[in-house]
Amino acid sequence: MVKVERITKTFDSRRKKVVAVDSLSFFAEPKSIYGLLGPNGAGKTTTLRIISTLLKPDSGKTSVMGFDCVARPTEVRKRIGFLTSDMKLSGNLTPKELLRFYGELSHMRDTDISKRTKELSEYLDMNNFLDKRIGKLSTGMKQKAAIAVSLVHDPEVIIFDEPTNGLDILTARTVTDFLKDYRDQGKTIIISTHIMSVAEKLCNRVGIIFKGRLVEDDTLEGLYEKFGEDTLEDVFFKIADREGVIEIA
Amino acid sequence: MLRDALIIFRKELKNIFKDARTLFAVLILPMLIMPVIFLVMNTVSTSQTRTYENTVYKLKIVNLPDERFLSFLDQMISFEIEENLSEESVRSQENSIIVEFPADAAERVRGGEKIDARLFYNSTSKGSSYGAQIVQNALSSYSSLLLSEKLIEHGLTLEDLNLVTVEKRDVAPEESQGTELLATLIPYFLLIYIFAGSMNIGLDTTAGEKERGSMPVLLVNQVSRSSIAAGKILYVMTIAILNSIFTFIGLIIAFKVGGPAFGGGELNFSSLSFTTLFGLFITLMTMSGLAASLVVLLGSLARNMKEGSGYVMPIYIMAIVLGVATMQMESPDNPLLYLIPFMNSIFVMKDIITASFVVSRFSLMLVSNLVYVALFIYFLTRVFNSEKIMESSGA
Repeated sequence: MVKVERITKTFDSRRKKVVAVDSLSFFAEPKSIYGLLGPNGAGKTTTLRIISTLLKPDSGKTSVMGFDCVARPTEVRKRIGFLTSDMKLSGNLTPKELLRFYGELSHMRDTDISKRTKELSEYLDMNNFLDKRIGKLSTGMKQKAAIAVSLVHDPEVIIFDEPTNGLDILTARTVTDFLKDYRDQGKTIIISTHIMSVAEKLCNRVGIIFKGRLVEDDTLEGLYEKFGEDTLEDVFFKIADREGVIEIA
Repeated sequence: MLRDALIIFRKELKNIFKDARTLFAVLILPMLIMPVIFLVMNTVSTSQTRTYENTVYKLKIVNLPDERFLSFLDQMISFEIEENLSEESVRSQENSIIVEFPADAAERVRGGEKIDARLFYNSTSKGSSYGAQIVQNALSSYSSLLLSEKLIEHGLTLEDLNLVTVEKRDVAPEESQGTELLATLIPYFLLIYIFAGSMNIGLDTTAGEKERGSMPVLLVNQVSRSSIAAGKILYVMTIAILNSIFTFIGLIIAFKVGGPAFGGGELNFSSLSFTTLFGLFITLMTMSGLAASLVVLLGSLARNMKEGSGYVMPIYIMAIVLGVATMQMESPDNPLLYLIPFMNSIFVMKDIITASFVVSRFSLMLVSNLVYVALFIYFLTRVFNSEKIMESSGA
């Protein structure tokens, strides 16, 4: 499980402070997908990076499986798989070699890496390109390899920044199928997205962020009921209007 | 920490060794480029000289004083007499030369008097310049002949004019004789190639990693940030060393291929003994470590490759300027100069090549370079531990 309690994060930008995340709190539990939904620049990536120990909050507290992200980063890193659609795997190594590399970085034993490589290549249908150079693979194959890399140490929590951003329909389907499957296996999953359909398809619970603030945190059904709408997009625009981000004619 | 650093190091090395193009650019090209340049220059130069030697020059000799001048010319150059040559035609035609003696030249020669000769050639034509040089040599030989005849009349020979004979004796140790050119060129090329080898690789493994979005995934692992930093430095340093070693081999081959025309004949390769090479290797190691840690540090501060190049390029240019400025310098005695990074390594390499190794200078260079590397690693670890390392895309 992941617990985020009143975290705030500011950045210095051209002699002024920009509040990227403002007193944000939420809770993500096992066997569920929590979606952070918001426009670009809302603070989704910063929040995920704080949970992943890549950034430290100015105030507030974040914990993964009970381990504080600032005080016990190594314990947290053991338990999370971090993935971003920005990651462009490239180079001359094969998926198999990359899995070994990331397995070694996770201090796994050789036999465990081999076993896990076999499991993941079968699960993600990677057997036919496991020994091909990453640079020669298609976007879909690369995405599968990236997913495998983040899962090699079998993490309890999966954090995925914009999982389907920039992917074609087939590759996006691979990603959403994997997320659903891992949720059903009992993992805690947190994603960020600005695509409503992705959130509707995947998320059990959604947190809507505007300008670093979490303005709604509920199940999809709860949000539909509260705002009297039957699509997340309509709910989102009503909230945006309420928050003064946009004006609906 | 070392174990984790080696994981990073092995992965990076494996990645580069699987890419034939990069491997060729980093290892093979530096070894080939200098020999090929020298070979081409040598071949072109030899072929041009042969062409000039085989050329039949058009010559006009005004007021020829003596047929013997023609026989000197005949031994040195192929020519045909062209009476219609003018200054204008020398300017417009290749391989044309006019030699003009005064009207009373023959009479003056017979009387043992001095004569002036004027040579008309075109300096923008290589053929004309070469021919003019040969004609000048023939004039010089003819002058010596006339002088010799005049001296004989007085019972003297040309040899009698040399009242002081000089015998030069080089008292430098045998192993350091003929090493000046090596000491001038090798440190310069090694410095340049260490930077050239570090730059692309160092930026790719830092700023490039940020650009590809793989840096966060690397950082969300159980290895310490200092291990990641150390692994990357070790990798860049190894490539820089390999690059400079292959450059060094290339240079030696180049001098052998280039031969005496490019100073190869003056070089004393026997000075490159095992001890010399070992000393050079240690110096090279510290200099590579310094360049690698600096490039990796600057690359880590950059948000992308372009920005990284902007940070590293001024340092690279400074290294070139430093290399050129110290080319003709002798190693100074001031110990403080051996604390200046890169400059210290250049002077120590000169010492080693010329067999003038000084322990105190070498030690100062070694210690100061290691301190600089440690400082760079310290700052690099701080960068890796800070949020600066994530600066490639916004929140």
